[in-house]
Amino acid sequence: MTSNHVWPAHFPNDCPSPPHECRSGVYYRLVADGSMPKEVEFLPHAERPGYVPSRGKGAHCSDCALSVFDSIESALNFVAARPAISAKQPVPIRANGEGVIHADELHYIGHFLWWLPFGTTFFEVYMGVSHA
Amino acid sequence: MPEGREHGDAGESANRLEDASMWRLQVVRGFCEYDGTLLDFLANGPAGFPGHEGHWLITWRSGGRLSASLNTPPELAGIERWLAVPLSPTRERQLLQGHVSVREVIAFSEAGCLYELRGENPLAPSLVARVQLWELPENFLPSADLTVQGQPMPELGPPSGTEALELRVHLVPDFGGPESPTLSDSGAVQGALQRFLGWAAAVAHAEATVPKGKGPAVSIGPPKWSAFSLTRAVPGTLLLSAEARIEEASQREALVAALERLKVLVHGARDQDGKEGDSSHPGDQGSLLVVTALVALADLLRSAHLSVSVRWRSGKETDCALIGPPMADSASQLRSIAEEPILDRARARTAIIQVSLTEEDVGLLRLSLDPAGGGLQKLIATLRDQLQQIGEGRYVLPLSADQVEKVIRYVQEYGQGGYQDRLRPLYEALYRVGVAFVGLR
Repeated sequence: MTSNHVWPAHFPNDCPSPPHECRSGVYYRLVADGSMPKEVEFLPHAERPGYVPSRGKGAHCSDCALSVFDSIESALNFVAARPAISAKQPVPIRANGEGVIHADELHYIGHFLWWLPFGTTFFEVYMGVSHA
Repeated sequence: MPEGREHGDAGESANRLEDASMWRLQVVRGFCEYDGTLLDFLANGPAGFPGHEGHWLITWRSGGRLSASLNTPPELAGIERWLAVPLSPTRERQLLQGHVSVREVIAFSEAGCLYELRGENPLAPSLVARVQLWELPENFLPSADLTVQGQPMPELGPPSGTEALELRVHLVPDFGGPESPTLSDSGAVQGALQRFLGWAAAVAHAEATVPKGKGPAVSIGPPKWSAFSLTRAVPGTLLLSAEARIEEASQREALVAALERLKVLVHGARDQDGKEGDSSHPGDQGSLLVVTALVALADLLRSAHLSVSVRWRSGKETDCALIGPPMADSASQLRSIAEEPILDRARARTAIIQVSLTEEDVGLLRLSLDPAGGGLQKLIATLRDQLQQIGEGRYVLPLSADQVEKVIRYVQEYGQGGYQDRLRPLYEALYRVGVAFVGLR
């Protein structure tokens, strides 16, 4: 399924890059262990307070996306590779065709970037809030 | 566990600091990003860096917004800490093709050391320190064997029952080593590893069943392994697996204890109570055999230019020990990367063991010597030269296999005496876990 989205004003031109394919399914987001997930944990880097653009070509567009994983195993492997974040745990977030989800261009196993159009937040998606 | 691993700041000692202004890196290829931040990448190293013209693996380890706890403002999240690992073309190819894990690349650094980068931007860090692996916090090393793109390395097969003990041995050549290890290399490593496990299991069994000081170690016989089979052979590495047939529970416990001891000896781990885990007594004949078997294994690996990653599973529990080249703290060793070939004799002189000593221990070594003294006094004089101060009242002393043997022989065979007593703290340190074999990692 494809869709014409209205992207937030802070997104760079041509971000996200086509194809603008909407996916459905369960993805996993890393959040702090031991407490209810907070809204700030579902904010893309570009929307966080004190945002400083990341380094590298195309980094600003990926700053506008949320990092998610396509399976618990992928998320846990990501953490195992970086034990400094071992206190984070994956929580499911269900995609119902909102926005655009692309596989990581670096081909890191199971890592996806998710861009949401204007008017929706990832925390609302996580909490199952419908804008229909 | 060596003291340095507890605080992870050994890299800040002045003699290990590099000129950070030299370190202006360029990304060659990214491997992993998260929320817009590149976490693992290949970089061109600092221009004119002595001894290494190739690429570096740069990998985020801690600090910054990703590791911040919930609600921590980014500016209070702690300074970002990265590791930089110089790669030979062969090791880079192995990394990119998924034949070695990131964990192995870090632990088996061909340079014999690592570089820690700190600051907001790893491409222009504000602080660079040359560090040894054992000086880093434990959470710097990946806890799983994953390729640089997150693919799990071949693991142990499906559980075959709680009675079995499975073993996976991954042979990785060091710099200057074979393009690919051969089956004859692997056969020798298997033999040396089995000898170590046999002795260590016997000692563990004796410790579990015989009160200390109440008789000699009781042998439980060598472990009965199935034939090691070659599970995977890819250009550059060999993966072997085996299973121990367990006839009684105590044998499995002893073998697991032997493998855990291997990990403790090479990693400097601590037991759950935070104590140094080795309960053997200095002079314990069984312990000496275990030490000797491990030294033999290390010597074999060194002469074959191999590192091994040993992973095992007993029941549902898996664990791993990494036995790599010595992490000699030497800039000249890094320079030697570009100088082929590395002579075997030079490598043979490299320390395989590094022990931690206190000011008091070092004071004994520094007492005056007779200039015309014999072999023992010459040994003490050499050891003085090898001492490295790593902090206030804290020293490390790298020892070669030959020196370990001499220290043990002088103290054991010649008993008490003025000069022998000066070696006693060192002798006892050789039996302490967490200090004895860190250089083997």
